[in-house]
Amino acid sequence: MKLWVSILTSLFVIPSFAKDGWEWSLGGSFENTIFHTDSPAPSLLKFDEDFFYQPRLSLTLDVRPSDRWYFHARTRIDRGFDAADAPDGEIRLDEVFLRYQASEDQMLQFQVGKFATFFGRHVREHDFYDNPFLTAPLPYGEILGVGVRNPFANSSDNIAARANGTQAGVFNSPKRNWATPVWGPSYSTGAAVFGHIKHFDYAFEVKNVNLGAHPNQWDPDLSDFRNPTFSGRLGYRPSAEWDLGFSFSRGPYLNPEAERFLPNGLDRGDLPNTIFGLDARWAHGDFIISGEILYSQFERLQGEDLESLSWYLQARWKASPGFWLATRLGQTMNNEVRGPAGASTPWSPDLFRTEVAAGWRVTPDVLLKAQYSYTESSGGLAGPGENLFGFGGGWRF
Amino acid sequence: MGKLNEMKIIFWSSVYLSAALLVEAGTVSGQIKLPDKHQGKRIAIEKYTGKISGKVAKPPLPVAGVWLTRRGLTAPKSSKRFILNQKNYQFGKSLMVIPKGATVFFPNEDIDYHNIFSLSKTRRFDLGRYRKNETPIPSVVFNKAGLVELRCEIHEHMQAKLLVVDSPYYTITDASGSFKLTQVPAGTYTLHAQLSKKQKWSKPIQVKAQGTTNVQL
Repeated sequence: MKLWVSILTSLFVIPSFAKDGWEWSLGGSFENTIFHTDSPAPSLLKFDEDFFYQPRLSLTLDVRPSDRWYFHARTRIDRGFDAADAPDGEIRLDEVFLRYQASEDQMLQFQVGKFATFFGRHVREHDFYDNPFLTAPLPYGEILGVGVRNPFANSSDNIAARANGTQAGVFNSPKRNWATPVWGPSYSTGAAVFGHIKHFDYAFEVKNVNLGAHPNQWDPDLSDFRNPTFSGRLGYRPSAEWDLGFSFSRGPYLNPEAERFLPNGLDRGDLPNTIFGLDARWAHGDFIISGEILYSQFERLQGEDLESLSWYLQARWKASPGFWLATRLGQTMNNEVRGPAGASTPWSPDLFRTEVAAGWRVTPDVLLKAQYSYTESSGGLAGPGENLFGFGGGWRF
Repeated sequence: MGKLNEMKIIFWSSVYLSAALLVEAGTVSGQIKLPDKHQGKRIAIEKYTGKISGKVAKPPLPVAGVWLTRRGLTAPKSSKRFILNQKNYQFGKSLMVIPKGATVFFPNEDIDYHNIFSLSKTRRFDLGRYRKNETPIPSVVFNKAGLVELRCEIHEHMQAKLLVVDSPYYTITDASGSFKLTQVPAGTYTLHAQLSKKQKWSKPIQVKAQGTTNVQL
């Protein structure tokens, strides 16, 4: 406790420092968000009460000993990155990485540590102060019916059992049992090389777990690199208005604990998850319009692959200084697989989500946001609750 | 007839002011202790990619705004134009002093977007995203005296200030804190200096008809 008091005190006394080319700064933010949803909660939320309160204190340390080196660490105190995973609170080190810039023109940079994925577009804007919404868009913020703790959860028998109600549905069992297309910012552990050449960006990363892995798999001590995930993004920015990108990822979707259930001769790497993504952003004046489309494929022990196509399109309009309105549409569509009797069987509900949000930047460092989401499920399986209301306030220091 | 009187007043005021400037104008110079580095909280770094495509310059050194006030003294009614550019992902100046009623242009000289805004009570505005060579160059008119804190919505490290003053006598210090106001008619004034929202000074001074009045703040 004394340590945290000292750290907090130091933030106000010595927020930044520069000497002999060294620069460092301590900072952070404090966000308070409250959600109310139908049950089961959508958007990677899960709670039993009517309301869920998520306070989050983030502390960041940035150090730049020279123009070429950069170190960043961010620790958070909240009720779990997977909301409500730690109802009594926890402290985590969400990001810690070291970056080396090999050339002055940023053509070649290396990064190692625990950091957000370079895949796609949303992750770059996932922070409270950059995301116009309180929650992530559908491809980054909803589970799929792909079991990650036991490969037989994805067998045709079990898929059929969930479809006909003899087993609990995907949204009525713990989130950590299931994959997502991409789990939020995916702060997993590994190394990356990235940079840009004129109008082109590139990034390649190798990390310990795949993009859809639950946050409890991101730390290096819980998984290993025997079956890493390779991801990347190629971007093209022809002008300031446009930013286009193609992303890809391939790695095993099963947790290490699932290995014991695999038949002899197989390991997790034999059942990969492959993702392709396209992203685009157009912005000018008071408008920002962006979207992504992701195709995700999961190989199974037997039977057809599980395939999912998800997308979102969002627009933000600044109505007056400091005040914006935003809307977002998203959809997830999944294939059907052959059940035990040969009939086509859905393995995950199709979802369509409509969202609206408003944000008010009271001062440059104080932001209030409100959001409403409506989720419609189809495809013959029960999905998450339909309505979600959220209100949040954040202060950066 | 009324219009004629008005013109006479303007004419004789101008004559009087010119004469005062030529005959009874003094100089005010002084020194303010300034911090030796940029006071921004955040390191200029691109944590997540896609916002910076070039080398980031060092932030401009801090300077303070200095101006004089006295009863009845106001900024001349003119539409002066100023430029505060953004280059190498920094503002061209850390602080500018402008007279009330002036227009400031904010040209972007980087290949990525900038989005300059202010949520200060003196002047709230948001220029939205604008590119290099954007036409017309985004601009804002400042009709109220006070401090305006400028930020870029895209690049958190970028910070600058505008001091809007209701006075014809204003300047900025150099990086060492030295300043000089010339052609100031003799009389009693209040000298103001401001570096940031919290760091400001004021002091009554007597400007001599000729010669230099030295002030230490």
